[in-house]
Amino acid sequence: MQLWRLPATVLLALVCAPLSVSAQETRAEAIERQRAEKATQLKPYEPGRLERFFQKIGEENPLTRVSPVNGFFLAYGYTGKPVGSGTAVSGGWRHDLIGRKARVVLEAGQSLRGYRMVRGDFFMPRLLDQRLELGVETSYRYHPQEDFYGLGFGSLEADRTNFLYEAPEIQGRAMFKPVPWFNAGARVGSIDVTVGRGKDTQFPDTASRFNEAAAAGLSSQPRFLYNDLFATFDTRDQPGNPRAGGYYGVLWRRYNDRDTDVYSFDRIDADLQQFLPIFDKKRVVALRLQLNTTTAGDGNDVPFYFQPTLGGADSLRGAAEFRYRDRNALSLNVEYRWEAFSGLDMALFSDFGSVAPRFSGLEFADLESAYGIGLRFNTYKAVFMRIDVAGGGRDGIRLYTKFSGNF
Amino acid sequence: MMMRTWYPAAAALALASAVLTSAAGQKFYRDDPIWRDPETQNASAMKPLEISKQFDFFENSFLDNADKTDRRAMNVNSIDEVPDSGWFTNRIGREPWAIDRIARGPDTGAGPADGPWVVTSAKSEGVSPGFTIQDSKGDTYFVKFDPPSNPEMASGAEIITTKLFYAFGYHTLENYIATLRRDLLTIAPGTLFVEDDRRKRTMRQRHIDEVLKQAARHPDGTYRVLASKALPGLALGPFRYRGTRPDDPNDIYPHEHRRELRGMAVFSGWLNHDEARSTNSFDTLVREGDRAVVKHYLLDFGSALGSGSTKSQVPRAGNEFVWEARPTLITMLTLGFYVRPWIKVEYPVIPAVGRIESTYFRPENWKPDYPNPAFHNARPEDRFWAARILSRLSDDAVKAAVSTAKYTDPKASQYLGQTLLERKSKVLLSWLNATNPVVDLSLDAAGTLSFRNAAADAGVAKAAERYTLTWSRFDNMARTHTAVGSEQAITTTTAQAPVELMSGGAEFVAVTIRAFHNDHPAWQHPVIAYFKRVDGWKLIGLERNP
Repeated sequence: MQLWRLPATVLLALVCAPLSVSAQETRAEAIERQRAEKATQLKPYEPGRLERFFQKIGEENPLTRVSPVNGFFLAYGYTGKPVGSGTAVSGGWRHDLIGRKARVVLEAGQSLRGYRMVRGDFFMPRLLDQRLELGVETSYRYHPQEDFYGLGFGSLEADRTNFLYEAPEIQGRAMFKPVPWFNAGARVGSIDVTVGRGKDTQFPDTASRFNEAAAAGLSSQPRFLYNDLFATFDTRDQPGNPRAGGYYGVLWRRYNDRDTDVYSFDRIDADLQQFLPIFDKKRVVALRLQLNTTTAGDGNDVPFYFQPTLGGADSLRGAAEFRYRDRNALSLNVEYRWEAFSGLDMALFSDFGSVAPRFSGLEFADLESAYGIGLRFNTYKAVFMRIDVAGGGRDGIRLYTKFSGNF
Repeated sequence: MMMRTWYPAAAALALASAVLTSAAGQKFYRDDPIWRDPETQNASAMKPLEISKQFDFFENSFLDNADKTDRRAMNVNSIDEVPDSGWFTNRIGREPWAIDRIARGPDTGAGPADGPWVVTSAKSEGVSPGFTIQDSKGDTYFVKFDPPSNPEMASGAEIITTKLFYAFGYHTLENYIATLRRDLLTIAPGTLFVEDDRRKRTMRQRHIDEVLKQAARHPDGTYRVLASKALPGLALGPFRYRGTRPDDPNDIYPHEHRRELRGMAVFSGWLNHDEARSTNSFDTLVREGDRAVVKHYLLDFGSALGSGSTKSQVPRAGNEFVWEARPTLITMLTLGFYVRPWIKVEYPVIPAVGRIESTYFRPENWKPDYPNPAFHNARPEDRFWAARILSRLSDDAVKAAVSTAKYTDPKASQYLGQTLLERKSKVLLSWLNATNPVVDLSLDAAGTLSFRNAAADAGVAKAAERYTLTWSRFDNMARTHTAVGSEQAITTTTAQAPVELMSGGAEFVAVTIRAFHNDHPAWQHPVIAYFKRVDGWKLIGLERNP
C-alpha cells in the first residue's frame, strides 16, 4: 500500500522543484513544461491488490453468485434449522416458474453436529396481485442429538440426555396478505415422527434414563395430521433490525393422532414484540413475550418432543437450549439496545421464563431470570451477527454467537 | 499569547523558505496572475476506470494513502485564486451573477421533451432506483425518483445543490424536475434490466412497475422525477480526492492539494453534502480544439440538505463519520448512557425537506460521511477562499435556488430557505474570520494603498481595531525583501506607501498587512501583497497566511 508514495513524491518534487527558467518564461509556459514532462511518463492506473479485491467483490458479488435468487445455490444455515444444531450449510436449486407466477425450491442442509434436512417447496406467491400465496411442501428432518432434561422446572442439569428426532412431513398452505402489515393463513399437514437413540455419546440416551411416564411418547410415536390457523401483525420499521413498531403473531395448531388416539392435542403459540425508540432510534427498548401452551383432551397427552421448551439464545439465555420443557412455557425478554456506531449495537438484557404442566402454573412471581450483555453487528436493515453473554441462571455463564438477530 | 508563540516559528519558517527559494528563480512571471490553467496536453489515451464504493470508504477511513502534508494549495495563481480549468470555472467568485442566472445553473434547455419516453436501461438495485430514457427529441436522461415517504425531497435537494455548486464554479450535470407518465413509457428493444439478484434480464413492463413501486406517486398517477442530462464526451469514471491520475498528462497537482477541492469542504458543510466523495464525481474526456482534455464533474446530490436519498437524512450526517473510534468507544464503555449531542437535535417534520437545521450546526465541526483527504488538508486560506465566494451569494439568490425545487408545500421552501441563510451566516462567521480577511488590495500611482475587509463587508465582524503594514522592496529574481520605512499602524483601510519606496524605481514592492481585533485573533495572520510597476501598480501576488 506504500507503493503510491514513490510516484506521489516524485510528482510533488516535480511540481515544487526549483524551476531553472529564464526571466522571459511565462507562468503558463512553466506549467505547460511540467505537463509536457508528465506526458512522457503516462501509464494506466493500476489498482493495488486490496483495491482489486474490493473491485472484484463489487463486480461479482460472490454472495449473489453462490446464492442467486434463481438457480443452484449454497447458503449458510438451512430453512428451519433448530437451535443447538451447530454450524450448518445448505445447497439446492430454486427458480421462478411460469413467468414468475410460481416458484420451486429444492434444498438440502447439513450441520456439523449431524443435523440434516431435505425439502421441496412448490408455491405460487403472487396470486391476487401478491396478496395470496398457495403452496405445498414436503420435508425430512433428522435431529440426532436433541437434549432432554426431564419435564418441569425441577429438572436437573445432571439428568441431561439426548434423543434422535426424525420427521418426514408434508404440508399445504394458504397465506393471505391483504396489507403489508397483516398476514393470516392456514396449513394442513402430516408428520411422522420417530424418536430414537441419541447420537451424542457424551450424554446418555433419553430412553436409558426416562420412561414413558416421565416423557410421554418416548416409547412409540404415532403419525399426526395437523391443521392450523395463524395471523401476524407486523409494524416493525425494519424486520431484520427493528427499532420501532411491533410484531404480534398468534398460531393455533391441532395435532390429531392418526394411529393410537392417545396423543392428540392443541397448541397455541403467541409471540409479541414491541420496540420503543429513544433518541431517534439510537436507543431502543425491545420487549418480547413468548407464550406456548398445549392442551390435551381426556385420555390424551402431549408427546414430550412436541412440548414447549425454554432456554437458549432466543428465550432464557441463562439456560442451555431445551433446558426446561413442559406443556406450557413463558418467556419474557427485555433489552436495552444502544448504537455504538452505525455497524454495531450493544444490548443489556434481562430474560425471564418459566415452564409448567398447567397454564395456571405459569406465574410471573416464579420466573427464572437471567441477565447479560450483547453485541449486534448490523446493517441498517439486518443484524448479521450477535454475541451474547448471559449469567444469572442456575447453570452459570453462557456465551452465544449467532449469525442472525434474535428479535 | 498564542500568537506570540508562533511568531518566531513563522518567522523562522519564512526565513528558511526564503533561503530555500532564493535559488529557485523568479517568483513572478510576466503573465501573472494567470486566470486559465493551461491544460495543453492531449489526454486522448485515457481509459475509463471504476472506483469501488467499499474500497473508497475503507481507504479513506482506515488507510493513509493521501498526502497529508500541511502545505499551501498547489493550483492557485499568484494572487491566491483558482484559475479556470477542467475542474473549476470562476463564476460568482469573480463577477456578480443575476439571480435568474444562478437559478438557471448549468441548464441549457428545459429538460426532457414532452411525449413518449423510451426506456433504454434501468436498475432496481442501488440507493436510487431509476431509468435511463430517451425523450422525444432523442436526448438521453437519467431519471430518478423521490421515496414514497418523502415526496419531492431527494429531487429538491439535488436541484438546489446543483444550482449552488454550479454558481460557486464547479462543473455539475444539467438536472431538471420533470413529470413522468407511466402510459408514455415504452421500452427500447433489447433493453436489459438489473434485477434484485443483480442479473440482467430482458426488460419487461413489470420491471417498470417494480421500479415505480419504490417511487413517490402523485394523486393523478404521475411521478415527479429528477432528470439528469447525459454528459457529452467519453466517460472516464470518478476522480479521487487524492493523488493524480497517471494517465492524464494535465493532472499534475495532487487532488488533496487542489484549492477548489479543499474549499469544497466549506460548501459541502453549508449544504450538508455529506456524500462528498469520489464515487459521487465523474470525469469525461471532451474535445477542446485539437486535443482531448478531462472535465471533472460533481454529481449525485441526492444526499444533501435534509435528504438522505431514500429517506430523511440521518442525524449523524454532518456530525460524525460513519466510523469514528472515540465516540464509539465512549458509547460502548458508558453502556449507552453517553448520548452523542447531535442525537438529541430535533427537526421539524417537513417530508419534502427531510432533516436539516441551523441551530446545532457548527461549520468547524461539520464532517462528510467518511474522511475526505482534500477536506482534511483544507487550511484557513482555502476555507477563506470558499467563504468569500459564498459571501457573494445574496439572500435572494439563495431563496431563488431553493425555489427551483418547486416544493408543493410552502413551508418547505420557507424553512429550507431560512435554514440555509442561517447556516450561511455561521459559515461566513467561521471561515472569513479564521485568517486575515484583507482583500481587494490596490496601489495607485501615487502610492495610496486601499483594501477591504471581507469579514466586515459580509457583516460577520466589526471593523478591525487597527492594521499594521510593513513595506518592502522586492527582488523578483532573488526572491528577497528589503524593508523600507518602519511599521505603519492604521485604523482605516487606506494607507500611504513610503515615499522612498515609490520614488526608488523599484519594479516590485510588497506590503505585509496584519489586522487586529480582540474577537478574531486569527486576523493577525499576515497577508503579503506584491505589486508590479506597470503603468501604475498592478497586484501581481498575494499570500494569505504564508
